[in-house]
Amino acid sequence: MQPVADSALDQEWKTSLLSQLDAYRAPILESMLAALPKGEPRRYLYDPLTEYLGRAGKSIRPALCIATCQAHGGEAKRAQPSAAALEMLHNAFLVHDDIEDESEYRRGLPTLHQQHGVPLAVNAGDMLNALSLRILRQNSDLVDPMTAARIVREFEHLLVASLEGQAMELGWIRDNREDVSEDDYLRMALNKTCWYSFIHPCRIGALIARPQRDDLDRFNRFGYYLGLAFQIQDDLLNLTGDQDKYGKEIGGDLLEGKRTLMLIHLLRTLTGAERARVLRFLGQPRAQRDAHTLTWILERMRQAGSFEHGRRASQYFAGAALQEFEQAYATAPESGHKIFIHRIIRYMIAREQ
Amino acid sequence: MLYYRRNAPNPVAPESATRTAADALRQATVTTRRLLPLSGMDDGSNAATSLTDTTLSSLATPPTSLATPLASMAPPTLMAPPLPSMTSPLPYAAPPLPYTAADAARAGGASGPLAGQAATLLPRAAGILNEEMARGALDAAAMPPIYGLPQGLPTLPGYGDDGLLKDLYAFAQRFAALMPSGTRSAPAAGGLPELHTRDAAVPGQAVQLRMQLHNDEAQALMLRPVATALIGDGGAQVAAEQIGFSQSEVQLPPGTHTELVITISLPAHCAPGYYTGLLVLTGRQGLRALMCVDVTRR
Repeated sequence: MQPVADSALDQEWKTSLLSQLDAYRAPILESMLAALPKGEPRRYLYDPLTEYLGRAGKSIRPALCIATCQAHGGEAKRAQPSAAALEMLHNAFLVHDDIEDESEYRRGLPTLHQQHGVPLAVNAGDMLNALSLRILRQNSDLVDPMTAARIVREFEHLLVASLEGQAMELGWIRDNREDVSEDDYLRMALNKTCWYSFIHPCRIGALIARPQRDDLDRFNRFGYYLGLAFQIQDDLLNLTGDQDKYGKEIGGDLLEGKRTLMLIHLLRTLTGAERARVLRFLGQPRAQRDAHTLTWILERMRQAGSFEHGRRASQYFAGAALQEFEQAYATAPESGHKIFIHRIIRYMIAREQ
Repeated sequence: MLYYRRNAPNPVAPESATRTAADALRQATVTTRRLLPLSGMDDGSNAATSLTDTTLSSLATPPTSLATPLASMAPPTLMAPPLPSMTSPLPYAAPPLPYTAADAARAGGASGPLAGQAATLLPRAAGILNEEMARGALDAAAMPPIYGLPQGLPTLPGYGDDGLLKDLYAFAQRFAALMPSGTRSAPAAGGLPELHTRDAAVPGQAVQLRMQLHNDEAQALMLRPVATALIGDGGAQVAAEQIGFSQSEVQLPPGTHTELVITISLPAHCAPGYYTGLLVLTGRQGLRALMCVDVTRR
């Protein structure tokens, strides 16, 4: 089966959606850059961060936040600090993730720690965290005190959940766990990715639009399924994608030992010497994981149907997100913003980067 | 919608930490009851819920409610630049999803070794989310204790502690939404929101206070602003006649908001001091605020 890519999707459709994402991204990037202090130390902190923030990410999180706010009748400017804080926090996570994963590329360029060394990169990631709080404080000028406090609560949960999910994934790698199940993966993905990238951005956007609403849980299942479709597709791209489009090294997750849905499927499928070979590879330090075995594992995944399994799972979750969309956005009138969110669902399994 | 609170009865919460697969499936069945039964799954025990390929292919088709031409929709507000899609054709002219029945057949079809396995992930994921919610994952986000609670609250007949707490929060939320943004607007010790000018005023100056009013109720509101005189901390007064409003009557249809501007013309001989007065919006019980003006010497 061909990868879910240009061959099957209308290129113009994707280009249009990417343009929409760019339009949401522009004011967010402006807010993030404005939050960067203009003084010293420039060379060791603010110049690297200016370059890093300027790299073209997709900005799905702020786009979901603002679009959900506008879809429910809210003003974009009132959601802008929260959306920019989400993106700033996401960038902080990326800087630290790349160190933890020993990744080499991010958004088509060397990772921050590759460029400036681990100590400066750790510090820069911490600064991005601090700046996300600074941006979030702007809410006090735009929303009522109760809503501002509720937004902080949403941030508090997404931060804690994300760090818990990251700990699960890193722990499995450190201990070279071979008993990680699909349920474990689903729980890890909920915590590591879905709360902060999908569920809370929608909840926060809706909260800003209608401060009195107490039905934010309607976005939980929508965001979770959408996040799973995104994460599994991301894992697939990491194994099968085009490095130029994906922006990260292909097979990097295997080199890092990440327990993806596809790897869990392969370990369940293989037996005997083949399974032992995969586990031996995963148990080695990253530097000792050789390209020959990596290629062999990728081929075994293909033969075992692990990629197909992941693709189907991603598509099932996208389908489920579509159904949940109808309920989550039932009270939002028809608008371009609502359509944009609807299109995002499909983009999750059509994207190549 | 299933809605969990830590103290509320939970119909699907696990009774112990050691849940069985059957528990998870039962939980998932409750959670995803709206989803379609999956036809042709080879694993009958998991035939609880999932999506059909037909449903998946609907990703390529806009729901009826979204089928309005983009060109007829209002452009987004306060976003620059405008979204390009507003002039683009509908996105749904794209070919169907790559995963079609034919693709499924190539991959072994509904009876192949992979069929059903990916599909069972969906109800399992639903169960995991339910479990996290039942554990109170979002309790902290649900109801923030903004202003804290006084000790020794009386228990009212018919109210448990939680009931009174809930009502207090509900009141605080509604009140907060009616307070102005961008000013020091948290309730003072006496419980009234305060309207402030950004800078101190001088005698003879006309100062403005702004109040954002939102109507999130189902019925229209008609409010009439009335103000008392301002009294300074030295005992001096600014007469109520010196206070004017941008609107003598505020009409607020459901779901709308407006801004009320209060203009206070300080007399030229006004004594310096910190002045406060009461603003009441008649037509909505309990809607009042404290007007605060800091007058300094010229």
